[in-house]
Amino acid sequence: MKKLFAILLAVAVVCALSLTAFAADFTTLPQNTAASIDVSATFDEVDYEDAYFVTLTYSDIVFAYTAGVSTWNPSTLEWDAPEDAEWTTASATVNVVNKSSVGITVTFTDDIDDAADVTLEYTSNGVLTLAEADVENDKTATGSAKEGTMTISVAEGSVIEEATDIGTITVSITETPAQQG
Amino acid sequence: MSNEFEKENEEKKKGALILGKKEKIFLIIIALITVAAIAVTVWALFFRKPDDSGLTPDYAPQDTETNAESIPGDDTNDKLDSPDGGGAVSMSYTKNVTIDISEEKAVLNFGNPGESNKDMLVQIVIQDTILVQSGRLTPGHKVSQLDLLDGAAKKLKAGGYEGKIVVLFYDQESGEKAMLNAEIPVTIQVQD
Repeated sequence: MKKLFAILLAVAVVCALSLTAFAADFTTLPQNTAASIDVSATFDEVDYEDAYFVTLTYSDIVFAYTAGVSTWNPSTLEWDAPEDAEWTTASATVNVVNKSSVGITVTFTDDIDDAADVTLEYTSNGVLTLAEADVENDKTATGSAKEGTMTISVAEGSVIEEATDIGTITVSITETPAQQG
Repeated sequence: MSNEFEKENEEKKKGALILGKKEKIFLIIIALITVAAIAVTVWALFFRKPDDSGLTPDYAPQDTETNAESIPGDDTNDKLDSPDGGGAVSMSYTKNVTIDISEEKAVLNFGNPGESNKDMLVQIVIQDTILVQSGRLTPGHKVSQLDLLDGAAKKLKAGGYEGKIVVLFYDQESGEKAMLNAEIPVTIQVQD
């Protein structure tokens, strides 16, 4: 009886030796399955947010008018109209520098007080167009500032009767529309 | 005789009593007026909102903008060259402007870089109505939000508006407003 038990036990031990082989088969299967999983990644392109940086440098915007000399006329017993009246300072300049990521259009307008008989004139019809500071189609390149100068002049025939604030000049800054085609 | 004297005495007492009631009423009225005056004084001192007229000041506001913050990294002391009597200003901004009616605030991104040599005042204007007006914005500072002027929220409904940011320049010493100002047209989103 003891011999029979010993033989059966030995057979059982021998059979158990193959268990590691079965284990090897099971580890192979999951590895092959993992290799077939698709790995993907999404990519959102860089979102470029436009920013504006505009510099205005303006000269002393004070226009000076000399009314001239009026002389007494004994014949008419009136003061003659002054002669040599002129604008001694009749122009000013505004320099505009664009360091924005977009092109800008700078439009000059004025609001002159009704009490002043003054008209202002602007070069280029009061409009400056400045390209963007960044390099188009190359977001990695270093850009360059763009600048332009506007000259403001008192139009011929303008007259003031006394020293006064004649009004304001407004600089309107808009994005230059993209050109078609 | 004594009856007449007592009667006269009683009438005098009644008269004194009536006069006492009048005095009481008078005192109550005085007390009410005093309480009302004190209430008005306390309200004016502690609860009254400042007069936000929305008029463009000809001289720089005394108070700097409370929402202003330093521009990060803008610690340069290099100022722009400025012609005699003139000025040199830079403006940094984006065109995203929103107004929150319930918060009574405007959200924007506007800066007066440190290289400028003028103080600025920023307004947000829709249909010629000034809805927002900042305090003095000194060089090196920016604002990311501004308070609506008193009553401005009532003039708005949720939606999109074509408006503009108006920028006024002031001399840092004299406070005088420059003859030149700037306008930046923007589309303003208003939300409840």
